[in-house]
Amino acid sequence: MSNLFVIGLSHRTAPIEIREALSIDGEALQRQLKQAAALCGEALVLSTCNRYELYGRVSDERALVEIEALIASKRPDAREHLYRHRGDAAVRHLFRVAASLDSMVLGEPQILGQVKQAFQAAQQAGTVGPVLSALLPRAFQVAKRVRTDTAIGQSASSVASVAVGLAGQVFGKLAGHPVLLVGAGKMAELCARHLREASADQFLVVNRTQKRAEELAGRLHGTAHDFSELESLLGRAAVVLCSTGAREPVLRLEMLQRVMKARRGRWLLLIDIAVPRDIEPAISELENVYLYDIDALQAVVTDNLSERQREASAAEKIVESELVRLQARQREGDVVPVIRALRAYAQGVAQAEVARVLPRLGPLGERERRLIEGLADGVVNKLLHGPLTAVKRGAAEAGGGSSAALDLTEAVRRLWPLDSAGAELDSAEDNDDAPAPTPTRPAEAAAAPQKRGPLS
Amino acid sequence: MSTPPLFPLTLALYAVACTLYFVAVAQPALGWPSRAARPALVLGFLTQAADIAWLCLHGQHPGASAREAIFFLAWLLAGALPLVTFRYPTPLLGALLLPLAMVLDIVARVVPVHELHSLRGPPPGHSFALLSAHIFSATLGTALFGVAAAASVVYLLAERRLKRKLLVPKGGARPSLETLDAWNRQSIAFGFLAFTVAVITGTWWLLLPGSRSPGAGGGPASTGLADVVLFLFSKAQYSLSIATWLLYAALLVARLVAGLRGRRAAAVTLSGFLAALSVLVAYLLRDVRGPLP
Repeated sequence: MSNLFVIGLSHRTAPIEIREALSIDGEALQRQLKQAAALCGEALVLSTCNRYELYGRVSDERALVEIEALIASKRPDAREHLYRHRGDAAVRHLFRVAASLDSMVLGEPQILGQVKQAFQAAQQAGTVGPVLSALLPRAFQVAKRVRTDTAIGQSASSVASVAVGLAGQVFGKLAGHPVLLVGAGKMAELCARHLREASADQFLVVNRTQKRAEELAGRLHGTAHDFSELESLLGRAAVVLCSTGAREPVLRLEMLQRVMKARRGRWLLLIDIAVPRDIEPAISELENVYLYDIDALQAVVTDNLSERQREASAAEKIVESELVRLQARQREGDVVPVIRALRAYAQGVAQAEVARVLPRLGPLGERERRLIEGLADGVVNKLLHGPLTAVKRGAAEAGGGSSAALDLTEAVRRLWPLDSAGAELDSAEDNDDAPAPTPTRPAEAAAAPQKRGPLS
Repeated sequence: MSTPPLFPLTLALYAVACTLYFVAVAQPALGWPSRAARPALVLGFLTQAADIAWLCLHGQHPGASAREAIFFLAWLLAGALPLVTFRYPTPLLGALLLPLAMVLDIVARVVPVHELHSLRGPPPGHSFALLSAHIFSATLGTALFGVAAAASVVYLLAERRLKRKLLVPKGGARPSLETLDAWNRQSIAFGFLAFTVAVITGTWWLLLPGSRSPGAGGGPASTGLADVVLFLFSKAQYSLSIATWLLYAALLVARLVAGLRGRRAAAVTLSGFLAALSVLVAYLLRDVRGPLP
């Protein structure tokens, strides 16, 4: 984990032109992943519309410079927008990104899927090693915990998603509830697409220009109608999205009064995203009619985003607590080789002594032999229990390089002759791709096959 | 004899569920209070079911007195909650119906009433069956009207939020206005059926010569329609029952014919439930005072 790095840029550091230039996918992404992995052993590229980030594992500063050059190869001026994090800071950054705490729209759900896709792409390219394969699933868990333990993603964060939420509050499921689009603007289309994702399946489009109505209806698998049919269509629709460029209201109070009478009071949700407004405000007083104009929708969005901001502090605490847990596990993992080496050394000594003494005791039965061997093992275990527990506890509780855990570990190394075994184990921990050391002593024989990953 | 053995436990379980529903209403973002309330509610429902069985074994079945009918009504209201909110966890519904059920439970157990059977002995066979059917159907109808009323309150609050463009409360799936209105409509339709049976059986029972206790005011002066009607409507409980029945009948007709729905339907439903409760109160007062002289 200490060798993890991230180099990248995002909507916070770079303008859209730079982000567009670095955006990458498909075969180009696979090529870049392999190039980066050749420099730093492991690589993962997260490329979305709001960020480009390259995660990897490196111990050499020169490799980082080369990675930067690789990232900026398409756009040299991207260098000045890059941020760099290493070790714990890189892990924290990944957790925050996956949990949508670094997103342009705080708490938006897409980023987690994008991180998962980036991980899959790196796996396909074969550039995922022990660090990333252990770290990414943990990042997914952190993101999931943030979403379930906080309300950061519960409220709608855009005008379109607020419109969907409103329709849900009035009608529940939208299947079978016709949506009428008055005007064929981009925003109305966006809202309609959101409604379709929320199971709306009937779209009626009216527009002054019939051709545009037909085009939009085609895209939404709906039907285009003549503007003169507006009043009869209002009688059928459950949700009405207005976005015309008219200077005067298109839906007037008298018309809606007639419509509601014909509808026999069935609920009608009116969403007016046009400026100037398409719907007379007095219509909102009609019974079973719910009118939201762009200001009302925007006010809900603003409130929701404020709510998300409040939830973000709770989410940040979750990220920090997960990071601390990860660090504690990492430190525990750091002392495992020493513990194993000590245990194997002590058991080796005990077995050697038993082997030396047994012939002198004359002919013994199988039961007596086992008893003597068990006695030796028991003495070893009891003697080592206290020191090993202290080393483990110190590792779990300590933080920082000059910790009590490191002191205890060093003391163990000095008190028992574990140096050669320990050196080999250390080098194996630092280089995850290196082959396991060939065991030459009992300590090494015990430790080598049980080597654990850096994040275990 | 009057307090069944598990009554304190039932009340405690309802109180726990009720508190959790209040927490869920106050903190909509928290999902666990609503989830935790359900097992407490179901346990309370089961312990009350055991109490009702115990009361039946001791001759105090729901048809025995207004008090037992009220106790039964509280049990029906509590039991309706998990059924109605199976798809949509609606803590507000729990926060409305459970306190009502608890109040009815307490009223049923603490108000001293003259138990009909102990005062007069059970009425003759067919009359007894008629009375039991009347009380059971009236209680069932009132419980369903109670569910409709609670759904109406939830509707009115949700509708008010939408009209005022207030921030949408957080939390899981909520019933839409359309769903709440459908709960209202269905509860009233079935409640009206049960209440109609109650009115018919109640009228029949009142006109049975053997059903009236000695000194309880006798029957109609003659078998003429005017005298019968005068006799029936001279009883406050009967007049209130008919007024309640007419109110719900008008509501159903308006829903079917004129398409009445939403806020107005919810308001009428609430008025109807108050009328239904007043019928119960009238019966309870009668039992508290004892048989009419």
